Amino acid sequence: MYKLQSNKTLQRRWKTWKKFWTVYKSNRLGVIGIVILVILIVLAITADGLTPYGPPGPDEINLQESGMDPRVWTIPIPFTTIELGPFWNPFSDHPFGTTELGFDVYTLLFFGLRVSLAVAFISGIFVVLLGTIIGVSSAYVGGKVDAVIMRISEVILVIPPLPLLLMLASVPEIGGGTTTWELTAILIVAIYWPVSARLIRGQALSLKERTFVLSAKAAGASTPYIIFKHILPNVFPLMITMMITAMRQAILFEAFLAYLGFSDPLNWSLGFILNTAQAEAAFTRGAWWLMFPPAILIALIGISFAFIGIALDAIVNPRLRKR
Amino acid sequence: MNQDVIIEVTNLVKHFPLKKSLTQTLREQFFYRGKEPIDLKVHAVDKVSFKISAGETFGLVGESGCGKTTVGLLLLKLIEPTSGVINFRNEDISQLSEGEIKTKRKEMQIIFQNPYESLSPRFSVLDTIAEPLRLLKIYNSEDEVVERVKETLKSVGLPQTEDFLDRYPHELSGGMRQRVGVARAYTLNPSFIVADEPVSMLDVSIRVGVLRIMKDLVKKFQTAFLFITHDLALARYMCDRIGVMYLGRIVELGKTEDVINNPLHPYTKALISAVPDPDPEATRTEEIPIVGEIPSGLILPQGCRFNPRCIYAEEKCKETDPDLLEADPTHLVACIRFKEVNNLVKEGEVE
Amino acid sequence: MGTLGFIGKRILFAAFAFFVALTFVFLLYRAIENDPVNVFAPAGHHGITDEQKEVLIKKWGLDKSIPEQFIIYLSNIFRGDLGYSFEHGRPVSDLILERLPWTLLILGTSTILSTIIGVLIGAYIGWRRASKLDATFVTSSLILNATPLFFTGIFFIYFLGYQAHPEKNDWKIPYPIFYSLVVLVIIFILIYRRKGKTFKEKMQFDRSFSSKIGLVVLLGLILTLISLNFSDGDLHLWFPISGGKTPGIEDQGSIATLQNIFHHALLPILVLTIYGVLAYGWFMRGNIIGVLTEDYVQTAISKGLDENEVLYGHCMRNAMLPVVTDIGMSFGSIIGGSILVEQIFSYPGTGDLIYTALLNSDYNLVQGSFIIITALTLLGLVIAEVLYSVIDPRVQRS
Repeated sequence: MYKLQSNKTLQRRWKTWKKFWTVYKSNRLGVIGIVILVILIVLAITADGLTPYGPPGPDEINLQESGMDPRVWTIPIPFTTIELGPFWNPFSDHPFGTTELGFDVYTLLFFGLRVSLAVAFISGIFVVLLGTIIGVSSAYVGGKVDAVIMRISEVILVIPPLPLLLMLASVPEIGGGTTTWELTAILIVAIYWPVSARLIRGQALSLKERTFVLSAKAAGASTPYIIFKHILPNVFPLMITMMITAMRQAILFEAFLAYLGFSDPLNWSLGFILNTAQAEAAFTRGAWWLMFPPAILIALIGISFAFIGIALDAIVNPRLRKR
Repeated sequence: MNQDVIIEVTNLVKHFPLKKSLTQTLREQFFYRGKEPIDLKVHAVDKVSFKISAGETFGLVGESGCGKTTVGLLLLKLIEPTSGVINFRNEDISQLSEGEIKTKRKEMQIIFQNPYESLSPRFSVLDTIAEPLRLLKIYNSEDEVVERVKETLKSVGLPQTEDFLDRYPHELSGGMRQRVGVARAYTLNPSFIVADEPVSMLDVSIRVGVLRIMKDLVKKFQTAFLFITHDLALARYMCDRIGVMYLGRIVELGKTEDVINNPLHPYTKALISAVPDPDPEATRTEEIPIVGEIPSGLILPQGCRFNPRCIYAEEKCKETDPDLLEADPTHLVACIRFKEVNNLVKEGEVE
Repeated sequence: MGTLGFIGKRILFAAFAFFVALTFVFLLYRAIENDPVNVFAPAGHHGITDEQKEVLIKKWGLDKSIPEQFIIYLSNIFRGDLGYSFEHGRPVSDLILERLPWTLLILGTSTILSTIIGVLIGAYIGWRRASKLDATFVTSSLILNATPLFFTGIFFIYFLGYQAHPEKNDWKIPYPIFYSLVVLVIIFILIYRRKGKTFKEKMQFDRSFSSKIGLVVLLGLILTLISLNFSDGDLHLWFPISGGKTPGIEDQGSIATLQNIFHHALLPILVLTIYGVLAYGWFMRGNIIGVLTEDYVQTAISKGLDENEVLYGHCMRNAMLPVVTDIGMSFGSIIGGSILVEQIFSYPGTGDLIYTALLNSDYNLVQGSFIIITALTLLGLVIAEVLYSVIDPRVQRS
């Protein structure tokens, strides 16, 4: 087979990654972000092994059956004493307490982490894929197609995103159904792709005018060759940073929707635990274990993405590093 | 100089039409209906003719914006000419389509001005130089490609080690990058090369090295070489013949020594008199000023393009747009008053 | 021509975007349910009588074909009729008009506050870039940015809201003490910001500085007097966690009502302001850092101008320009944020309206609120762009 790049391409690519990692390692924030994210991902993947209960669902955890009684407990939260209802507190057999209905929060957290991360990753990846395909082809086709795509994306960008998301998420309920986590991911992609498409289009447009593209053309390169060999590899760093940003946004969007109740009732996400907390008025009743752990996890995911994004930015735009 | 003409250009024209804005189109449609449409275009290259033989270096000299780079791109069909004939090895390539021109690509190459821009940052030295070979499928095996790349690297005076082949542009110095650019152009062993200000982005100290390499390669491979520059000194060093361009038109064309020692066109005279002479003892030749700014290519002056800035301009210069006239068989000039002008200058010197 | 043309173009675009949003909402509810009557006038719904249903079907042409419906829909909306909420038994526009002041109160106050504070803080931190203060700001804004807004809201409610027994945890500070603390803090900051390395050098008061401090003290005194006049003399540190005001508070006089409204609005405003300050501060910091590298700033510094003169005289003006547009641009997300804040604090604004409408499947109301929110957002956007294009004509070209 005739190859367009030498045999050593793979080797060299590996070398590039190694070099990249050396640079990345020098960024403290980036390392912290990666470590947090990896730990969270591992926790999410191994959720089944970490808790004695299954994921919340039709076979929900029933405290009465497990032979434990809900206790009434007086908690020493600052400035007040409140008698607590049927919540189980963290100092009981459940390390993170339970919800009013007796769901084990410890279990919910791991499975919630899994759902939230899945939504973030899937929507992040698809935002960038869609953005790259649309952005690059729009930059290359140009003319009216480009104008139309850019208008559409601009319209999507100026419509307030959160109300739009809410309205879209409520759609399945008209038919009597419920939101699923896949749908949440699709919705996030639908309202967030213009951001990546516009950025990538801009980059592709400026790359298209670079001399090395002209130089490749002088060497007889076709348009597909230029796109795949010259444009895409140079857009790649932007794609990665964009993906991290999109994932961070997706986590927040998902938490927003789930907190307001538009979430998969069979696959509890972290935001949905907070929704339960709100619905059970947990915070006026002092059940802090229902709000702080999931909220802190959401914040941790967001922070890890933010840190990774900053580290990548510093590598991609070395000018920022000097400042 | 042998008579084997590689490329011959006749009356090459390139206009860039200005893009109309939406409001402009609307205005034309509704308010100026039936009237002549407002048609603005930039006259980048206008009726340019010259030829280059094998082993000859032809220089295009002019200020920035005079259209010399456009000529280079037109010859390689990287942009489409508006009209005119480009005879490459006795075949008109000006009307060839994208696919047809691909077969000619291995015969003609280009060296770009900015070595920091013209090398893809994600291609190693090997990939950069081998790209034309691989794209045009010159060799069947990868070993032959690498062999050929090493050969070219040797001829431009770069190391041929594995380590060097694996380097990326950001690991090279400016001079090395431009040599890689030269190597990339020569790896196909083309018969015609355009060099678009190849050393203007380089430090003065390393310019000569790159220039010498190119000069040697031209002699060695008998390439027809189009050297585009704004620097007369470089043109003098490199070129056998030069053409001076002003606003898209060649105003003077001839052997390098003739043009530089005996400039006939007022513009060339002004250019040459503006070159500083490092010798403090030298008697300064009379300074010939250029009046005003270079006009835009959008609205050309009536008659001779140079007349608004020419100190010798007369009424008739505003009427006729001169073609190239023969001062002697190898020295052409686009000025209707060149004889009088030169006499004037000589008289001035006598006084 | 240039500026006018640009403004015209942007207005046209906003109108186009609004039209797209209208069409989208229209099609969304028709695409998922074949019979729009089920969506907009559901028979089984508790709030709706048969006559109302007939009126609704007639008014919105729900039994006609889709294109006809669309025309009726558009004409109704452009006449200002946004539909009828069967849940509340009132026209949607009435409901929105009733709730809008509450939203504008918290959004307006927090936007103004966060712009002013954010711009000032951002400018100062940009000026002191790469200092400890800068690092603190960067990390804290990163962490807060990753924290969902509703969590911060919950956090405030947990620690500052009335708990189950409000009489037990109504912490209060007398206003005189509170204001003297504020004045002391301001004076301390003023002294700290003065030139000089040792405390002694900083304490060398000249006339203008003494008058500055005098002004602050005077302001504190006036505020104390006013607040003592208007209330029982205490600042309550616990805040109500639901509603816009206590029902029946009007009987206690207008000043008590105003105080009550302020007391209710404070936590939502606080939450929104924190995020706003971080966003604008972050933005402003970047702008200032960019401006600082410009030649004219370097010239100003090398001329030996006072730090404040360089920062506030030369840098601020140019760095602030993009912030102006950003306020308009972020209108959409601010409104989105208000949905959350109003939901957390059960605040009776439009955000709460759209949310409860969704929960109750009151789709006339959802549609109406969405249209209003979109219109407001686009209006903000156009105003910001026009302002910006007048201030800085360079944007027109991009």
